[in-house]
Amino acid sequence: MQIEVKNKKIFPPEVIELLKAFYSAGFFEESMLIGSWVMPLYHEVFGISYVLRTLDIDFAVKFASHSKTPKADIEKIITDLGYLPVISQSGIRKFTRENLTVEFVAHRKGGRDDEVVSVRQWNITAAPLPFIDLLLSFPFIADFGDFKIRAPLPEAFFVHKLITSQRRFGESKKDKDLEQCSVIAGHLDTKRLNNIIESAKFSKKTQKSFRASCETIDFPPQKLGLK
Amino acid sequence: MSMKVAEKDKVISGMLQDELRRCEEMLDSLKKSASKLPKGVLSLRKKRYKKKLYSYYYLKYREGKDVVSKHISNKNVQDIAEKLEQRKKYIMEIKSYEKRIAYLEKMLKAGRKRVHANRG
Repeated sequence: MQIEVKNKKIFPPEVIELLKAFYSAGFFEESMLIGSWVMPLYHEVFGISYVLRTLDIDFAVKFASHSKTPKADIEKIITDLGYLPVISQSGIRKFTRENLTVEFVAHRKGGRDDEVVSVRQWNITAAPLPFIDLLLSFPFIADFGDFKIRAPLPEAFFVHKLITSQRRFGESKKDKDLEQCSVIAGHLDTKRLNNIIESAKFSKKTQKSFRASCETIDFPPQKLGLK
Repeated sequence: MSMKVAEKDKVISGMLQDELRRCEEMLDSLKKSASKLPKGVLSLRKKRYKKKLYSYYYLKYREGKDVVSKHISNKNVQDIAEKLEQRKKYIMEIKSYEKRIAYLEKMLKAGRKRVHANRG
């Protein structure tokens, strides 16, 4: 699904600069923008209004662990833009410029507890998180004319947040996740939501998370196929 | 499916706290990165010895109360100059984070005061 974005000014110039550079490197062919910075896109494309944003920009990176063929040197691309590399406490390489932080996450396979994933194809490290595949599998392309970006469909973002909010350590992040869900809930496309729900077999633990989140935001769990 | 004002305040305050935590972590990481880079000023010193003029680079920096001058060989000058430049960028970014942390702390303090006033 590709959607033309008419308003080119939904992102500040420094974010546009970064997105354009990633697009030119082919990063958005499979990987995507995630986190609260998808909200300006959702507002423009789907009419979902949520204005709160932090200054960290997250990208979900798709990679095959067996593939070592380099695609592009994302670290060089970012540092050429003036970002400084820093190593976080968990060992993840992040990049910062004027308080803006660029971070990468990757899908964490069940049973693994690595703190860092090295993505050699892009010369970056990523934080492995569960259910990132859910976001990567249901994308849309936002076409800005001179560049395009990949982002998760709001329904995928919604389902992902319903699950992950219940796994958060901090209450504040959980509240933020669920607030985003409550805003998106009124704009869901039933067909797309059903496709996502039917694409995976969710464990009892995940179903429990669905129920807890649905209760908090007053969303009927039946719409997620739960009784 | 809409949230109440009190819940919204909670979300905003939580988000500010998360942002403060993120900035503090970044500040810590930036300081660690900067500490691995050389500090000081690279200068060229000229010296006449037996009618010949010799020039060499040295790095001048402060270590506690002392000022240290360290000779830098010609082959390392470029590398040291680049690292000093890189350190400057880290220091600028550190200042930028310190400023943002001060701002966030002020916002959170104001928020707490407002909550107390509403309760009173």
